[in-house]
Amino acid sequence: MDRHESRSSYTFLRKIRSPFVALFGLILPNSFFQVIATKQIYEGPLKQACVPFLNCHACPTAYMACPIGVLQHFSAIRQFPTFLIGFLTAVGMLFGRAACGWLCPFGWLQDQMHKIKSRKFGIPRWLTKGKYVSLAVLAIALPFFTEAHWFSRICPWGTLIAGIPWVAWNPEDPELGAPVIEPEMLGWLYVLKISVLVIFLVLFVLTKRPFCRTLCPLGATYALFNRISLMRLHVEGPCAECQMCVDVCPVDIRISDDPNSPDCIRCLKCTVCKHVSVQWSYVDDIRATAVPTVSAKSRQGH
Amino acid sequence: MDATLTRSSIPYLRIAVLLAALTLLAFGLIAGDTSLIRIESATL
Repeated sequence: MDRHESRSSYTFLRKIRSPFVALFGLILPNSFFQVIATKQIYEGPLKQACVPFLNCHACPTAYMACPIGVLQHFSAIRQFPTFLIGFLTAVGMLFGRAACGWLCPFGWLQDQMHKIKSRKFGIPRWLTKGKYVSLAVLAIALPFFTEAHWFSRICPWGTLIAGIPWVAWNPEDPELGAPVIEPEMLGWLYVLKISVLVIFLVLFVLTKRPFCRTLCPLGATYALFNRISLMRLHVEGPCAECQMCVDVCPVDIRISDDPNSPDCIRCLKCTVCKHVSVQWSYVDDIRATAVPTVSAKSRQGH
Repeated sequence: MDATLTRSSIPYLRIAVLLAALTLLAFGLIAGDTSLIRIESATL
């Protein structure tokens, strides 16, 4: 593939990313519409496997399980999640955080909401470490010690696609002959879930992908692989410091400084710059190498 | 010397991690790990 063909393929990928996420991340995994007639969620063999992105398996129309829901469950029953760890490691080793950029519907929602015109704010770098705390504490340690799924209790995506739909719909359970949700079930926890969701919905407008960058335990898991994954971003210098990559980046990364930053979601928006490309390789150096800027090069006498 | 060694060992590290992941995945499937995944209703 010559350089021109390669650039046009990036243009094509950038154009299809949004409909791709909507179809493969949102619609297809949540298309069990028989639930409207049966009033019972899907419990077939697909529910025993998980998708590689956040998708609440308690959503009325969900076909597959959520990896973080599964992780919490195995922590709570104190068993090693062999399949899950193998699955997430394989996905992470192949693609790094690409699932965040190309499949996660909650990330996609954040991108769409950030297009609403308002004053915009950055996120302090130290806050981006919060996702690792979320993974270690809410998704692993607390479920292990308390046998309760703590991350699910506050997960805003779960509230949006499972909690609110169930409460709004509240069908009659065909086996029990009573409503699925009794009014007394909606206590402080429901208020907490709704509050967390509302706070994040406001933040989505004001900042770029705040949930992915500060709280998502799945993003934290994939972030561990970004520097060693086979799919990698490559920046061919010298960087002209035009800021184009920073302006389009949904997670505020300067890609020329750190092409394989743990926060990069491999959305490929930065390939709008002709210096940025994707490489599939297992021989590159894993160390972060900043690309020299044009001004730095001229200072060195080049 | 050290840098060369580190650099040359990276491909093997990647392949080793990927193979280990696929092995875990296969073991998990064979052991019926996936059947342990509990389907639960929304936590309210």
